[in-house]
Amino acid sequence: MEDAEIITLYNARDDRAISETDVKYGRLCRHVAGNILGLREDAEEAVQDAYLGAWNAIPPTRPRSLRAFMAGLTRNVSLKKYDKLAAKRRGLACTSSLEELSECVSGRETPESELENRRIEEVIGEFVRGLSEEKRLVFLRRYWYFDSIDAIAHRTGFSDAKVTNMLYRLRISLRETLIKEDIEI
Amino acid sequence: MTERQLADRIGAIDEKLVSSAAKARKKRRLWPRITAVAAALAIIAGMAVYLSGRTPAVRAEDLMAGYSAEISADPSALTDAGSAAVAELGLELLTAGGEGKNDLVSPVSVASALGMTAMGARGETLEEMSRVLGAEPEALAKYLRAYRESLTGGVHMANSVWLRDDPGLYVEPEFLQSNADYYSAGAYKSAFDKQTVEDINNWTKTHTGGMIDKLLDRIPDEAVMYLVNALSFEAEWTYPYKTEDQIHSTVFTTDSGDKREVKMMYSSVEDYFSDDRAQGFLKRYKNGCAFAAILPNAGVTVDEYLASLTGEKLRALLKSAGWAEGTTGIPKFELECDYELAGTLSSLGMPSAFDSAATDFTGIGRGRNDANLFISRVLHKTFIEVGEKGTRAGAVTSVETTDGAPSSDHVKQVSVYLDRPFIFMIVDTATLTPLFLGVVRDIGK
Repeated sequence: MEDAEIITLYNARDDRAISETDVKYGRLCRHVAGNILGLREDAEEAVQDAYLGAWNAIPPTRPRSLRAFMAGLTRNVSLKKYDKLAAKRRGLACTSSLEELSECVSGRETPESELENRRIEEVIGEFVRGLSEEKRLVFLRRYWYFDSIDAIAHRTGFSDAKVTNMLYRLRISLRETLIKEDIEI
Repeated sequence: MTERQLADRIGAIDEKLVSSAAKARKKRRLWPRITAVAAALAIIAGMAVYLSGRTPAVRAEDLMAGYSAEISADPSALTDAGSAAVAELGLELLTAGGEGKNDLVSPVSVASALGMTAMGARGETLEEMSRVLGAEPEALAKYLRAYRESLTGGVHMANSVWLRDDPGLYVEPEFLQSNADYYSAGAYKSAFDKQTVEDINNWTKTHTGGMIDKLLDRIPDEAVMYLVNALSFEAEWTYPYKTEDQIHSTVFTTDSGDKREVKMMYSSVEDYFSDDRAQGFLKRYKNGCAFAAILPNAGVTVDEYLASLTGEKLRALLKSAGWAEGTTGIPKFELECDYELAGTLSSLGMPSAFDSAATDFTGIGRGRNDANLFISRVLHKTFIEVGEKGTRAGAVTSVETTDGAPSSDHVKQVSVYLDRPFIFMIVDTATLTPLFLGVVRDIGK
């Protein structure tokens, strides 16, 4: 089913919207949740929460890309669940990706404001847009989708060592960009 | 900022970018075989001098449930001597074969299967095997363990031990433990019936990426143990042959002067080396390995050249590779070889391992009625395919031979076209250990 038709179902409060979303994007959502949470049951719970989130958000939201919208929702829900589970010290899948990201920042929690968050998001967006196609793919697969190095190597055809090296350089570059833009890291 | 805050900010990246990364896959290869694929399999059948009775058919039981590696890989074990010993074994096997046909062996695979077995060798058998392997079993095991850990994407190596499920067979726990420690070998107890043949063949197929799908037709009644090493390699060139201009039909001339038509793939020299009797080059793969080719000078046959090589000399030659300008040509080729190496290994200096009266594998265990275990067969199967699709008829090429190593003062202009018999290897560029070593004597139509 086309995205527009699925969104029409959401707008009409027709619960087939959820099942059609699951048919079309369930695999992607489970992939994202699995990358973050590891355990199948945790991931499944996060995916169901994401479907509920979509049901509550549409309308009024009308996503430009239902694929990205669902993946984003699942990512957010899964990361929130990650925070809760991490406190209980359960084995979680995206820990290594987050540890890598810690190289770009100080690790001190900074006060958040809507305005500053938006500025940081714009800077990161520009940084990603400025990357070559290959680097952008590797960066997003690792730090947006939380794919493993193996999975990225398989997807791109690069060696594990090359992916690891690219990510290392990208993290240095991101840190430099944030500092240059006077963002409190 | 914390990493979680940063992850949240990254999460707000433009939907279009995120969506494109969800769909992006590696580009479909224009030529599905730009890659080189290779696989090797070495198997050693340890046999006892008795005929066992039929045992009830059971599926393989995992014997390693109680065993796990108790040591970690030691990178300092990756010595030049270890690499040279493996190369030397490969050269010995190649020179013992030959006789006008193409050859392909995997020194690493044979060394692994023999190395596993040697962990249970004692007395004269141990001394002989150490000489042929070029190292004491433990030193070799440490080297191969560290080597296995050092391999990057596209290279897969696995070991396994298969034991007949027979109460008369005793296996030393230390033997299984040492194979777990150094070779990460799975061990399976099985009825050695049709199901076991299927299980071993399936294991083989899985661990060679489907490149070698059948190892055994049947298991002889006498066989009590198989030690198997499987190795597969698949990698893309760092600089692939992108255009049809790089591929032409040309003539490959055998030592006996026969002309064959081959598809030659041309590219710039990446790393060039030479000595007074041959020249060659490395062409790199994306995974840190390289295809190394050695073309003996006109008038020198590959067999003459091979006879003069040692593991040390080979390493030194590869290490001397440096920058040059020019062109290389690799013919598209595919080889599949199948060896029984017992006779070769025996003649290389380890006869007692194959002699039921003289053998001492008491470190592995004992057969029924306290019979000696000995090796009856060493099966080695290999496969390689180098090349790609998409060719057009092209020019006949010439060979310009050069002497001496490339100088840093002058950029050497070279052309190395493999249009007559040549030696080739797949090596990892860090240790220069040959995963595969072969000779192409006759290819094409």
